Amino acid sequence: MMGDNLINISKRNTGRMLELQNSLATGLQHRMPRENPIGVSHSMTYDRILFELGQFEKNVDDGKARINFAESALANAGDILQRIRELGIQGANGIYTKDDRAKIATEIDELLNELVLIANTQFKGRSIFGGNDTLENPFLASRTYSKYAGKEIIQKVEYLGDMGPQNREISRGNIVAINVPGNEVFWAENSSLFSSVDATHYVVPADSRVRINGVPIDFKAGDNIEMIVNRINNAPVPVRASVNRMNGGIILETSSAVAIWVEDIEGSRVMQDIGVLSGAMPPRNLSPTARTFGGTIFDMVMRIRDSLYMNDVEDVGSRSLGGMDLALENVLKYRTELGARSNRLDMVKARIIQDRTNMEDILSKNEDVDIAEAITRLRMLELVHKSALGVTARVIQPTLLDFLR
Amino acid sequence: MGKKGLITHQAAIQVTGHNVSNAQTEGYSRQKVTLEIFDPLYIPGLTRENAPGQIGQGVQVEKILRARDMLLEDRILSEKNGLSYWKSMSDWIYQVELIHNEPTDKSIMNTLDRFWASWQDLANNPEEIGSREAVREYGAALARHINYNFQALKSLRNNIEQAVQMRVKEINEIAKQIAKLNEQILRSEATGDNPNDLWDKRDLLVERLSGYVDIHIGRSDQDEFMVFIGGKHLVQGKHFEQLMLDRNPANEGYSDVRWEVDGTLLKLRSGELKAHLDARDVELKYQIDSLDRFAANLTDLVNTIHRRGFGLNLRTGLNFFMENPISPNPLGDYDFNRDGFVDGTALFRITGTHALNLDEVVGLQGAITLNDGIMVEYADTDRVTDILTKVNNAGSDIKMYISDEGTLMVKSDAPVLAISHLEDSGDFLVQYSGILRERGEAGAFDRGQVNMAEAVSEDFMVAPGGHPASWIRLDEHIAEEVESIAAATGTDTDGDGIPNLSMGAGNGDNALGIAGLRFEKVMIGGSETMNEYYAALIAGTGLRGESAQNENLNRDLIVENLVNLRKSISGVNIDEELVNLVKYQHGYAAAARFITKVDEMLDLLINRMM
Repeated sequence: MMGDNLINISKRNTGRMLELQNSLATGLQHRMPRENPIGVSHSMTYDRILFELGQFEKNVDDGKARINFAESALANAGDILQRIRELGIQGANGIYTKDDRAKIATEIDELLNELVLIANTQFKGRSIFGGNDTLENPFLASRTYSKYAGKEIIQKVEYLGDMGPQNREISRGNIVAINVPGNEVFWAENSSLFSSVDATHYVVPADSRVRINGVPIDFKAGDNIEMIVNRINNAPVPVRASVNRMNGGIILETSSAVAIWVEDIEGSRVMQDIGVLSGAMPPRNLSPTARTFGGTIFDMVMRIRDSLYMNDVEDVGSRSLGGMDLALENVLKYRTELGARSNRLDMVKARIIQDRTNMEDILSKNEDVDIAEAITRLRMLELVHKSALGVTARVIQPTLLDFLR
Repeated sequence: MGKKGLITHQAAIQVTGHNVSNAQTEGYSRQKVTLEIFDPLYIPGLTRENAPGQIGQGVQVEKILRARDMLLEDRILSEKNGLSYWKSMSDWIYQVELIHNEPTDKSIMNTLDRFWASWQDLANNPEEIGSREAVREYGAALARHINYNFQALKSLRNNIEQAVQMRVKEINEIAKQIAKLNEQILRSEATGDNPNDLWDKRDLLVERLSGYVDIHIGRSDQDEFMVFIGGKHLVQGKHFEQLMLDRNPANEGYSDVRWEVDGTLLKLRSGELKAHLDARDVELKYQIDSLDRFAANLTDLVNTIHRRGFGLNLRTGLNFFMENPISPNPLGDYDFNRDGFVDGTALFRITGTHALNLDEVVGLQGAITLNDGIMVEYADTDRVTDILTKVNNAGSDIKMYISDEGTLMVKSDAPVLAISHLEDSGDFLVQYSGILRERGEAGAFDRGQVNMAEAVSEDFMVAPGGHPASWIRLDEHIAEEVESIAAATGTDTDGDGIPNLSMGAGNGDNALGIAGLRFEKVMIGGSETMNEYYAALIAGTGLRGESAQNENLNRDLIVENLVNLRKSISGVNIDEELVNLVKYQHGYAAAARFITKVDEMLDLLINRMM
């Protein structure tokens, strides 16, 4: 009986020592859910949060790399624009001859080529100013022969990208776009669109939805042109609508230097019906009958270049240089914005690192073994085990058999 | 008289020897010789010889008793079945915990985290093939992990089934042996003997049996020793009943344990067999059902978003995980009773047509009828969220929540993953949310009828077939071509509600949408995220494992103490036996000396008197 008792006691002791040995060897308080169910589920949660924070950090780093890249591209673009502006001021000076101006124009043309290259900059092989259309160059420059330059020069720069955001999740459910589309950054003038279709008696046939500069706008069945204008003006877009008194057509104007970007979606035909869209897919979807105004930065550069080629000193000095100012202003505006976003990401990252430190601390408290405590407990258990063995050995030794002859 | 002394002490020495040699035999109880005075020569009476006193006739063995406390015995029996119940339960849950392999970095939870993270990486680089490969790999790894855990749980369940079969065979064998022993004991008792060793053998068998099932012993009738399980006798004297295994097709072919005599179900409250049955039909079934539910929801949720998105190759409408509907019929018509004819409609999810606002007061009244006639009434002051809470807490296996698009989703939480019944006397499920097409009984959806898909919204998912956890894997389009993984969202330009124009290669919003599933409360009627659901499963398993282990340890101590107590009563103490041996040896020597003295006396009388 005493022998059995010893076996039971030492079984329990070794069981406990095994548990302690496991904790000490792995450094973890619990290996199986049953050892501490609540602790394990906390560990799982903390582990998940840590993992998630790691991913957010990756997202932030990636986003920041792109923002910084875009920002330095804009810095280059700003420098070039500044140089062009200086050249323009030089060209507007009356002391220069026609030939001098042509030379300045040629230099500006070179800088224009450089500017187009910057607008088509790629990060890891993806265009950064093309919205979501990252695999193609967002700006297409078409060259035609110019008798002034005596060679093929850029006569038209078209935007082929879109307005799509490149979104990153930087904290739980917090999504930020880390790109700026080219039809905002590389625009210099406010855009406007004049439809040539008389919409005075137009009535929206069914509930429909259009998207203007990325923001969906709903029209209800029965809306007339006034309602359409109203709904557009009440939407959070930098586009204002009005009705042209001359022909009853709709006028769309941007309130800042961005392109007008209109889409009929979900089966809507409203914008096509009122002569804004042609029915083609974006980006070249504006109706050919509508007149559009408002130029890109490239248009501004081309204007100053062409005025210089044509020796139109007055235009160079007034309109063209004014256009350059607009261009510079817009680029600066987006540089500031990208800088602000970069700062925000820095702050987010700092918080992620802090959160992670805290979380690691909590996790460690939750599952790491207090080595000193564990070793003390192990020593105590060893002592108990030894004394149990010793006592039993003493007690079971003598039997009557030893004394019987 | 001397001979009697010799024989008696010889018998006593023999019993002592028997005790010493069986000191280590399991179930043996110490035997004790009771000595008794042999009846004196004369009985009192007038005819007795005129001599003083009665002359004694010596000693005889009255009986050989075994030292055993039957009350203690019964306590041990009743504690023992509790002990073996918790011991087996603890062992089975331990194996389940091993399968889940939490908390480590090689668990479903961890793979799930990596899966979500891979979608975020894809959102960062939607144009890159590398990040697409990662999504495919982690998706496949997650599916494989779920398959593996399913297989492991399933084979554990099969092992338990084998254990059940073995135990039932053993119980039958023990019942047979006890009945046989009863017969021998009865015969022996009839002659007035104490069949100590047979009793010991029977007690040992009964003790073993008490570990397997919760038995009651009937000792009231001297001639018929009875063993009861759940109020029915297993053994009655020399009669015994047998148990049989009956494969139950409704329980995936796992066996029910029934009485062979009348086919009724064996009623158990404790014991190892009960632990096996509980582990097989409660714990493991719950684990497998939970995994199935997890897999079915994962498939449906990821696919619903994935189908709306666009791949790099501009493909859209593809599933990410393969869907394996229970029925080839796209409307979910299914043959539930397997008689060859479709007899019902199996739908896992129905999504409404209108976007709802959780805090909006519905302003309608009516009553929603769910499965098993569970009714949920709503008043015109209820908000949408109030109605959902009522439905989700009504105890039915139908859960409702609001999808990320704001539409109402109705999902089945039952093990078969098919919505059983939906009916609304008011307009909440009908015009308000667009789940059902008609009010009242006429417009009710019922699993037990065909063509029911016509009664509900067009956006539904046919119930998944079999165990979703066993077959979840990537859709073959995704497995073959990573460019098909839909990272980009799209625009619906033609007004059919399905996007048909991709936002472009650089758009990762759809991938972000899928990654966002990880913190959306999509499980159990919108109360838990997928990760929380799984963590709760692990914590629950751990809690049950912990309590089983604690019960096991407690009962182990109790039984150990009782067994020690029994050992102190029935156990053989070698020292005591040696003392007895010496005592009886002396008795024997004294009796022998007595015989020599009598011999000497006779010698004197016969040989020296000449």
